[in-house]
Formats: sequence, C-alpha cells, structure tokens
Amino acid sequence: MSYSGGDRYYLEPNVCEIPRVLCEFNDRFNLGEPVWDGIASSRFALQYQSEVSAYTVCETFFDAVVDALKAMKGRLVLEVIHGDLMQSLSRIRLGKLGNRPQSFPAMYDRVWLSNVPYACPL
Amino acid sequence: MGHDRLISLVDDWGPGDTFPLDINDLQADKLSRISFLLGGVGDGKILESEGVNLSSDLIHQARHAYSTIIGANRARKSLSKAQRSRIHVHITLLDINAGVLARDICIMMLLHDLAEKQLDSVTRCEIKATIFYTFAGIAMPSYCYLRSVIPFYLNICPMHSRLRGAIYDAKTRLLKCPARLPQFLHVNSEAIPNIIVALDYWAAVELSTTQMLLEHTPPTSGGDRSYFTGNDDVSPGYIATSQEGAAANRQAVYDLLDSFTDDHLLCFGYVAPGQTLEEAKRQILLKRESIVDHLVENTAYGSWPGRLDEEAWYWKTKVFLPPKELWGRHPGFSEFENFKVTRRKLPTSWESKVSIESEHVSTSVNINFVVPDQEPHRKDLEN
Repeated sequence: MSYSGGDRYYLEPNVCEIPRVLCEFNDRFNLGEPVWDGIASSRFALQYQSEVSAYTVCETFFDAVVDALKAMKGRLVLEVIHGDLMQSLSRIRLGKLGNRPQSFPAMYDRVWLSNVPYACPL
Repeated sequence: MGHDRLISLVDDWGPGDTFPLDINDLQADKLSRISFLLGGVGDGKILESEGVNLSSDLIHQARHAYSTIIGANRARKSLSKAQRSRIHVHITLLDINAGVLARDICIMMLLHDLAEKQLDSVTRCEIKATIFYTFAGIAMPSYCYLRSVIPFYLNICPMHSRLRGAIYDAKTRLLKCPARLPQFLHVNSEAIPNIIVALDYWAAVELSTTQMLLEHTPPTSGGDRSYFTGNDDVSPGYIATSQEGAAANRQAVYDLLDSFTDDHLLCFGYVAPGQTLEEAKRQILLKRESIVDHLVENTAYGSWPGRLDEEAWYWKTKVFLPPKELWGRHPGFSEFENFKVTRRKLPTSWESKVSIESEHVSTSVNINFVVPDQEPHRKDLEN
C-alpha cells in the first residue's frame, strides 16, 4: 500500500519543543494552577522543587480546550478542508467546494498562513 | 521565529505580539460570524527531501486552532450575557497533507469524548494521555495506541480488535452521508476520501519501533533553529537582524543572572539542592556559559518546570513520563525518581553513571524499544 503522506512527516525535530510551547501558552493565558514559583520571571524558574511533567503541561492545555468546547457548544465550528491553499480559497469564494454549507464564511476576519519561507530557501 | 509559539487568533500573533480582536465592540451580526483561517503549509515531503528541517509549525499547524479555541472562550467570558448568546466562531483548517488532517480529526474526536461523555477517571486519564503522546513524542504506551486510531505511533502489538474497531469507527463516521461527526466538527466531503486513505495506511503499516527509536536522536543543540544562518539563500539583512536580537536576549540573561540575590541562587534550578552558598556560587561560575545558553533557549521558547530532569530522561528512554495515575502500569518509570536523584547528585558526570534498565522500561510501556548508546542532548550542562 502506498501513501504519499509518509510516516516520517510527523516527527518533530525536537520533541521537547512541544511541552515548552504549550507551557509558554498556559503561562500566558493563566491556565491551570500556577506552576512557577519563579525567580524574576517564570521563564527562569527552572527549580528542582517544581515538579511539573510534560504531561501535566499538556493536560492543562487540553483541559482548557475541553472547557471551551463545552462552554461554546453550538457556538463553535471547526472546519477541515484538504487541498492547496490558493485553489481552495478560490473555490470557497466561488461556493464550489464539496459539501461546504452556504452559511460558512467566504471571507475571514483573520488568517494565519504557516510560515513556509522559513522552511524554504528564501 | 514567532511561529514556533502558539497563537490565539482572538488575541495575538504569538507572545509579545498582541493584537486583540475587540469582540466587545463587535456588532451583533459580526459577533455571530467571527471567522478564522489556519492554512497552507505546503508539502512537508518536498521540504524534507531538500534537506531542510521541518519546522514544528509544519507538523502541528492545528495547534493554533486549539489555542484559538481557548482564546475565543476567554474572550466570550468578557462579553455581556446578551452578547454571549450571539457569539459564534468559525475556524477553518486547511492543509494539503491529508495525514495531518486525519491525525487532527482523531485528536478532536478524543477531545469530544472528554467534553461530552460521562467517563470514569481512569478512562479520562487514558484519553488525555493518548492526546499527549499524539501531540508530543514518538512512542506511546499500547493502551493509548489501542485507544487511538493513530498507528504512526509505532507499536508492534498485533492488530488488536479494539484498534481495528476504532479505525472502523472513524471510517464509518466519515463515510456516512453526511459524515456523523461531533457537532463542532465539519469535514469537507472532498477531504474525506484522502483522510480515509491516511487512516487505512496507518492501520496497515508495520514499522519497527526499535528502528524508529534508534533513529530518533536529539537535535544538536540549537541546530534546528539555526539552519538558515549558514544558508546563502537567506538574506544577509534578515540574518543580521536575528543575530542582533539573539545578542540582546543573551545580554538580558547575563544581566538577570547577575541580579540574583543569594536566596535566588540557592533555589536556582542549576544548583543541586542542599548546597552551601559558596558551592552554589562556584557551580554557577563554572557553568556560567552553558547555563546562559540554556536560559537563552528557554527565554525564546518557553519551558516547563521539571524540564531539566524530564528532557534528560526523554533522551535516555525516548518516552515522556505518563500521567502519575498510570504509573502503576509502568514499573519501569519508578526508575525516574532514581534517575533524578542521581542526575542531581552528579551534576558533572551523570551521563556515564546513570543507567536506565532499558529492558525494564520497555516491557513496562509495552513498546519494544532500546536505549541506544548516544550523546546526551544537554552535553553542555555536564561539563
């Protein structure tokens, strides 16, 4: 069986980045119990006394997602589209993309495009 | 590189780049159709074949969707009751790699279970652990694996009826017309065939966990973020700016280190507990540069308390610690306490003196992995 997506695609160059990024976000959004008993600022409080595992960081983050899903039930839609960005955007505008409901947005308030130039030669 | 950090599109473009959407001032009709698009990551395979490191963003693009959901909920709480009854947020995830989308759909299903189902605490914990290991790391315990439909977390267990059932379930849901998905999730009909191909592939693929973990080696320190500095194709102006920024960050860390009081020094993470002030000062002086290296990295990319121990553990065993509640299933992880103690007692030479019983750990987490003899990630901290 062949599959163009491959399996190695998913490997994080440095897996320890993920809990670090999540922890930064938790910190910024005051999620969960404060985990830092910091020196000067949380980022430097790498204290042995603090026993927070990567799992706990991740749990705090996704607990907040679950809370949001509950609180915003019926007020939140996550739409998944597979395809090339430019092509898909055109088809969204033309209203010709699979079973996409008319009520879904054709214009967006904010758009985040992944920063491809960092990964490609500029 | 701000794109390494999480973005809440309601609030910012990442830390230090706030740009709040004033949802309190939105008119009713706008409030009921707030819309965000996260999209366009290009083809990771092509980038990989060009010998360029994949940025974490390419892999975890959808994580900005989760942080945006959190941001949206926080913003919702600031609204009046009348406004709250009107708010509606639409987030579109667009990607050219169906495998990424399939994986995210699996995570969303698990989140849906957590949000909607009455579950006992052990089951909840297992689901959360599954999300965790899907999100971070490359190997997961078999009970997570069997709970998920995500076989790229390589596991040599024979195909289990529960796994087959889970994949079948995901496929069934997607094949229904319309797809029978959680209320908050809409998968475009054109995406479904490719997502099913991805699920089928994962269900059938057999890869060696041992081989994968052997190949899973720590990145050279900082290497994964400095690849553009030696790249002739990157504009010199950009490199100069980023180097200036890095120098300023580094100076800020020196300044901070110098501003520590004696009390700070004694409970500083790079000082083993129980040391005298003199010893602590000596240790910090000796390791000053490597400590600053480490702190600079943490300033830029965040950290979690306990990371020093767990990251060292990770590169020894290639697995993160499971939730405490499930440690009973993994006798091997009791080694972690010893590992920590030994690591701290021997801050200059723990590498050669600590040995983790790899087989012990491997049986306990039910993934057949070995601990290769390799350079530790944080070599600088040992010397």
